[in-house]
Amino acid sequence: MSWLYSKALGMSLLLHTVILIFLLYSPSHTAKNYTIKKPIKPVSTEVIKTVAISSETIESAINKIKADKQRKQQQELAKSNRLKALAEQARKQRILEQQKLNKIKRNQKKALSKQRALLAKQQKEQALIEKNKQKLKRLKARLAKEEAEERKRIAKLKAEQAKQLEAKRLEEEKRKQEAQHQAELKKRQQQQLVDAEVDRYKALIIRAISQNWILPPGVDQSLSCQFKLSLEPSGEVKKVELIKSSGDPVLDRSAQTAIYHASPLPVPTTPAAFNVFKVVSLTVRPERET
Amino acid sequence: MNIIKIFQVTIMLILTMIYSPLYAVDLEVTHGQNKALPIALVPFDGDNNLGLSKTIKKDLSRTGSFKFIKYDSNEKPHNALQTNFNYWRQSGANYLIIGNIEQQGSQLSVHVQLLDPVAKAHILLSKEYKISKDQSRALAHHISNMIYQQLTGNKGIFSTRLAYIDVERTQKHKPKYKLVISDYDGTNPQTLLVSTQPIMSPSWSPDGQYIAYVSFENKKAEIYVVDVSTGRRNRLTSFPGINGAPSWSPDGRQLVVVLSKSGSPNLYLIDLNSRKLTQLTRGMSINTEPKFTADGKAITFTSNRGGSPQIYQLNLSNHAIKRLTFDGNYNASAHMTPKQKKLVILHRRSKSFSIAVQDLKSGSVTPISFSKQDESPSVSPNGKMVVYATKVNGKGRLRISTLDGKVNFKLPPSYGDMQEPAWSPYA
Repeated sequence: MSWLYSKALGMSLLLHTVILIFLLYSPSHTAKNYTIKKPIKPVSTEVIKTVAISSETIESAINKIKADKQRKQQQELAKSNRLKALAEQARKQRILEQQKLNKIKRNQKKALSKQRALLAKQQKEQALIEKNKQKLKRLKARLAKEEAEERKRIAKLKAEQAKQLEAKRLEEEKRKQEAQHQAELKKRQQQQLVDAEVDRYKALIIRAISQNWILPPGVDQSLSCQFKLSLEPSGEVKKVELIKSSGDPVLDRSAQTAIYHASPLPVPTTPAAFNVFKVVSLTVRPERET
Repeated sequence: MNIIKIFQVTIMLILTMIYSPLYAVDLEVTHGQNKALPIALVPFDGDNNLGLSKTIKKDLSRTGSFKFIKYDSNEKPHNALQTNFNYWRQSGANYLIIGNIEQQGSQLSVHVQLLDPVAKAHILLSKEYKISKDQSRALAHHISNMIYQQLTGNKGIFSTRLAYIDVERTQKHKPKYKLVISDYDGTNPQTLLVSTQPIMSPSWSPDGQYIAYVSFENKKAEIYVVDVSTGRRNRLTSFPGINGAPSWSPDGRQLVVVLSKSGSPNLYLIDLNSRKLTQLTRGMSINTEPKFTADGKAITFTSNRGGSPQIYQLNLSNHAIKRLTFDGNYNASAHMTPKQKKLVILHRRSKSFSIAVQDLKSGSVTPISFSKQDESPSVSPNGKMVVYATKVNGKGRLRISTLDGKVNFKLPPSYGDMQEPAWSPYA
């Protein structure tokens, strides 16, 4: 858009400049007038002097004067004519000049008006553009405002919705937690029962194996071995796996024998508690020297 | 160094991770029963008058580590195939020894098996031997060693021997001094040397090839070394005064002896190649009964330097001496166990002399013999037993006790006085 304005503005500026130059270098009116006025000044003062002179002479003088007068008249006339012609020429010239000037003025005026019209038009257009621009700006502002408001509204709506959802969720969670808590409490109570049973049977199993474990004489107390026991619900030792040897086969075997001898091991009767004992890790570590 | 350490730690961590899967129940047993291992021995088929299974049973019972259980006489398996494992699992025996012997003239074919009826791996040992009849006792000891090692993890001493002095005194003749070698249980005694003059202080070389001893055959104390297999002898020392109590270094290159050539009895090292002497102790007190520790780095000995006889230890690297015994006013004849954790001593308590075991860590002293006139303890090479001399009706007799004192048995008596037993090395 702006390049358009700048083009128009440039054009107008150019035009103005051209006009200004034109005006400055065209010949001045006053100077012309002065040259025209000059030849009008010298006319008749000779008539008074002739009155006091003789007849003959007067005659001759008169003749002479008459001739002179005539010549003078003729001269005068010629001069006058010449002057007249000059004047006429000057007048004509003046008219011409005037005409020319008028024409120039007219042209100037015309160009000026044309220029003005163009300028006005341009201004008008400019104004229109400006107006449109403003309009657009306003529109935009309004739109932005509306949009912002809309957004705000949506955000508010969303926030409200989220709030509602959160509240709902919280409520849900609370309910869930409550339920879970209740379930856990119940489970814990059950677990406590199971744990108590498990602990009791752990001790019983350790005792059963200890009673069957014959310490190898002089066994190294820094040693230990680990077994994996698989138990039947009856307590029967289904499988004994040595998963970590002590390095002393006698110690390993003494422990393994103790496990087999202790079979069936005491195990809980409730399935929940027994499940814990399906696979058991047993570490055998001699602490007392023989 | 650091990289190795990091590597080791990493390996340990990995191993720990591998070996410690998570189990619902993680049990730990730390207390066991301090009792003899229940086992059963079914007399070998064909062993009617050879006594092989009997010897094995006797060997094993004498360690105190086993208890032979009674079993149903209808159950007499002689090989694993015949064995009713269900019965033996219930029998209370943790292990079962069975075997059979086939005789072909003077040749024996012996098959022996050690079974584990409790665990799944039933056959622990299965061996077959072809021997002549007169080797049956030696084979029985050999089998005992194998079973003992299998079941306890310790080396058995059933094929080792004893050397001792046997003095025969009769009213008609001069006394006869004999250097005798027998099986560990006193059977099969063989006289290696006989002298009309006293023989004392036999000491085995670490390879079991030689015995150093003191002889008075030249009317004075001298130290000799005798080759056990040939009986060939070599005189080692003949200094003025006492030449006594020889004891071999574990590498067999040196002997520590007691010499009184410079006045009072002191300890000297003799290099067997160069015969070079090195004096170890000085001073006016009595220093005697030296014995190398198993690592060869020190010598224990008896000295009255503190007023009463006590056991001291001499560090061979710097000759520093420290006192080991403090319980009572008479401790002598020390013999350290191979693991150097216990010191077997002759210990006087009130008026009786008994064999006692001192724990070197705690210093506690436990008597293991109670006949009031015991002496000369010698520890078995596995450190589990001690043979010592005692008096029965005024006559020298030998007895063996386990180091825990639980088993104590006498060795077959000779006609004479049995003295100064020395337990041989394994070889």
